Amino acid sequence: MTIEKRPNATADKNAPTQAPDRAPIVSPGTGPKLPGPPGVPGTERFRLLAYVKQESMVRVDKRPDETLLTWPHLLRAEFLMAMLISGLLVVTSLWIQAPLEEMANPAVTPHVAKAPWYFLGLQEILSYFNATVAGVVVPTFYLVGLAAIPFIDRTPFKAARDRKLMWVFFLCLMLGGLFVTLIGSFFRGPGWNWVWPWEGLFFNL
Amino acid sequence: MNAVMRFIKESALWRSLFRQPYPNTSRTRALAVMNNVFLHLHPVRVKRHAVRYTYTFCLGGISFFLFLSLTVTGLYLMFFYVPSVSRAYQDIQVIEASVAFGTLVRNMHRWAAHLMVLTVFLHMIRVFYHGAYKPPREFNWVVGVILLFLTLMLSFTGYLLPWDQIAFWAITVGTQMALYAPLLGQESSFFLLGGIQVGQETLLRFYVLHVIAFPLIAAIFMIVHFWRIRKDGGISGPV
Repeated sequence: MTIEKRPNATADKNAPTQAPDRAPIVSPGTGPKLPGPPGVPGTERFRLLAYVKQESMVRVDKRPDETLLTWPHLLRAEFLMAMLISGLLVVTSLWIQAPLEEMANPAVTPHVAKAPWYFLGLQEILSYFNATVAGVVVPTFYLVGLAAIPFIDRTPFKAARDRKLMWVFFLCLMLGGLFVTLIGSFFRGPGWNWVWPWEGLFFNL
Repeated sequence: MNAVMRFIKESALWRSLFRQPYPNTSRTRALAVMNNVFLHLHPVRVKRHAVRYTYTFCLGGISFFLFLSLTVTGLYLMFFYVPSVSRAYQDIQVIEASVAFGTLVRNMHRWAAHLMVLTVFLHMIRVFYHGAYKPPREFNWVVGVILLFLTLMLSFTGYLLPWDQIAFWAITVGTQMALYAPLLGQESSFFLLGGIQVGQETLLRFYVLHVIAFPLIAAIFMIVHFWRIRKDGGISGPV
């Protein structure tokens, strides 16, 4: 397909300068005659009649449809998942009892006092470093570091090989967090001493 | 029977509730999503890959569904619970022993809370894997990190409420770490606990945060989170 220049662009000196991003609109019949016998396939030439920028609300080009209707496709998936999770939750709750020990007593310190499981990584770190590191520096670095990811990794590439640094950083946060959380959960007993899981579990949910 | 059904379906009451027949054409299906306040969270059409279970594993949706389940079960538990050191523990025992479905609802609340912490983390990992934090979605990633923090805070404040030994000592250990903030120091003890150790003031503080403040703040951030998904062009594409 050939796109012809606007015929009067150089001839008409009085015409206002055409900004490159403005659409040149050429009406049929104003340009030079088009070569090629009419009706012979492969010889037709076309002129640009209008250039419509894609920022407009109306989609001009019609691409192969890569979308599905929300009703029923997405809603069916959501409904099935909601039913599955509800069922799972009810069955779990019928089978496994939520823990409840004796009433709180500040005078009786238990053999091992553990934070909720998602903070056991921090409690584990507390046994290596001082409380400022475990209670303030690490959690702040963790959350701010996570939030900063899109502002450090500015490239548009999504494949893992194109953002190795971010993958290493993210995996350090995730696997490091998982590692210390698992140790704090299953390998620590009275006095925060090392205990193998088969020697005794000191873990509450 | 048919006549009865037709009478019902032609009544003004029915038609005011259901403004169109059951959606079974493209047009009525689009209208059903557009005209419903709850469904219009979604666009009328979604990308083909977005519906695949193995693309998202529904982790964000599950997290939101668990939040709703926790709201409903939590509301039920609130009817039977007083945040007082002299009553809280007995209230839990009463819920378990004599409230209708009390044990079931308390268990559901507990397990849904733990599961939600897990699904929020997994959702974040899934989003990272797909590079979905890339422009224009940077802001929504930050909102997501805030929601992760709020989820942890919701779970943590709820952990104290049964007022048993697990709860008391877990919160004592958990807050002691935060008390070493360099600037605040012991001041933050009063701020967090309402005293020098976990007590009545702490229970009331955590209760109010747990049932009103954090759910409300989390809901506001969720609205922003879902809105940004739409504004940033729907769910991200495959890697």
